[in-house]
Amino acid sequence: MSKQDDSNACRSCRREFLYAAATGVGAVGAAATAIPFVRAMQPAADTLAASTTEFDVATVEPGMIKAIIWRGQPIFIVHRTPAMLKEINGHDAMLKDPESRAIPEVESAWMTSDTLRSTRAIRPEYLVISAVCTHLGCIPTFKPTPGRKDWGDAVPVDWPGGWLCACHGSLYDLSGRVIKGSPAPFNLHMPPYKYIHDTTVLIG
Amino acid sequence: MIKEILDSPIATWVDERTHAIRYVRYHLLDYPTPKNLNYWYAFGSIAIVILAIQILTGLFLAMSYKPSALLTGGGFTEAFDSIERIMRSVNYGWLIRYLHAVGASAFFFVIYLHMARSIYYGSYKKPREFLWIMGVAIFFLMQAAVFFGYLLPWGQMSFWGATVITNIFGATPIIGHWLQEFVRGGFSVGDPTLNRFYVFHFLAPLMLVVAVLWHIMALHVTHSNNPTGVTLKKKHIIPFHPYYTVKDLFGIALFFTLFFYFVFYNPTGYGFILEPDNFNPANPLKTPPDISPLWYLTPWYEILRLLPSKLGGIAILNIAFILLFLLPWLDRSPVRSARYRPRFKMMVLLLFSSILVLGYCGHHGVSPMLTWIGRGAGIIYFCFFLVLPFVHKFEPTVTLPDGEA
Repeated sequence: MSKQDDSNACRSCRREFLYAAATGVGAVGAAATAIPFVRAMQPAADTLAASTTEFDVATVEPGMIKAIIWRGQPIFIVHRTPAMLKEINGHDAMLKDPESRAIPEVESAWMTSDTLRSTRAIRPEYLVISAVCTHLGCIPTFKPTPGRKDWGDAVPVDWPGGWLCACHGSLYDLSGRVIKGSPAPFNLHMPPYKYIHDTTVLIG
Repeated sequence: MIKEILDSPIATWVDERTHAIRYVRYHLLDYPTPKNLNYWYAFGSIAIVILAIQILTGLFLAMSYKPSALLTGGGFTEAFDSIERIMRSVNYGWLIRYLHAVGASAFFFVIYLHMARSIYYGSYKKPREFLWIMGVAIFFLMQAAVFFGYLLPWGQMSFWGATVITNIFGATPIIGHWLQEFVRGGFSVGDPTLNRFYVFHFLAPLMLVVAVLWHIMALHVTHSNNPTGVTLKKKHIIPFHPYYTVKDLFGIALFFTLFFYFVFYNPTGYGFILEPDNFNPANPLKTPPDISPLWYLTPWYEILRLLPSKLGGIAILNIAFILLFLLPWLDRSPVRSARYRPRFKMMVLLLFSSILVLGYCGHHGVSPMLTWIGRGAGIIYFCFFLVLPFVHKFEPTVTLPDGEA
């Protein structure tokens, strides 16, 4: 190999290195440019800030249900009578997740006892729960009385009372726990909430 | 690496079925270019980059903008509030909006230099007349785009700028009154106007892209002129890649340095990019003390108000624009570049100066002094086109460099 060829080869490898380095820096720059555009499509600061809702649960009559909006999604507030609270117990064998332990979204830090895990409410008479079916996001229909007396064959024979999701037939009991055989995988989600006054809850 | 990609079996497979790869090869890689193009020839590529930035940022702004003049609880309007939300709440909304606003000014800055280059080197002359016409059409589409876009923030300048310009339609003989209401969609600029202007603003880039493609198609038939204006011999022709891809990229890097200085450090550009009055919400009951358009429209705005007559001003503005289209036929010299036309060179520099002076006068409020300076500059502008068909007869003979023709 002559001296001339040698220096040409070296020049070529130097050029290839510079080419790769410049392309690499350019690629990093292009990727960095994508960051603000991707971030711009994520929820904006004001959307995130509007994330709490206050509600006076005493406005719900005993045995009745109300749907309110939290973060654009419905939340059920149910005023459970002593009779309804009794319906919650005794059918654990029918439930996929009777103690609400499957995923973090179905439990809360205040669920410290077996009773709280079955009532799924800070004050047992007031159930505050997500109204979004965990299957594909429809809103289930409230069918609180047990058995088929009021509902016909839309519900199973041993219906404990709760919700039926009309979209794909998911069933939940009066604590929002999903019944075996439903397409929904999890119990209705438990939104974060606390009592800020006697009967006023702050959701979020 | 580009060579390996284009020679790969997948590329060959695609090319056999679409010819896509040979288009890339012909129009981006092997495309023949004169070897003596200077940095004035980078502005075309830079303008395409800006158009891409405008379309990208515009799409992302459209995701958060609301074209509605309905009042909100804060006492402003949906449109004005949505812009403020973009600035304050949307992640990086400030950056995307500043890119879009600075991009509009940058687009005109670059296009004016691009046009000046064409005039100076005689690039509009035969056989490039169509290339020039499409270029002027792009320039007008840009003016339409910024006019429609400027209404969208629904600030004071937005509202009164649109009011003044739609009044121009009202000056049309006979159908003027009808036309004005037709454009506004009401008796005054209002919610219907905002809605349709948003649609037109969105339509502008679609038309711009088509016009730019046609501009490039025309260029790739006639090929680039060069600073000598002489058609070069084959041995002076080099491929676009790597020579001008790299040269244009360097030009784009220099441009970006200036561009991002404004985006990050001076987004209002001392009031030249975003006008202070437009940070006030639109008020149909109060006109701001000084309404002048943004800097890139001021020369034409000044021509509009040169004559003390509404219809007269509109008439000479139309003539000023039509003369731009006619440039290739008004210039009858066989020599292209101003380098070899000393008289033409002086005229061109006078033309550029007159446009700058018109722009200065148009930016400032009306005063007797500026009105007369503006009229002087206006006369120079029109004289350029008046003298152009005859100047070649008085041009001293200058030896052209050796070319093909």
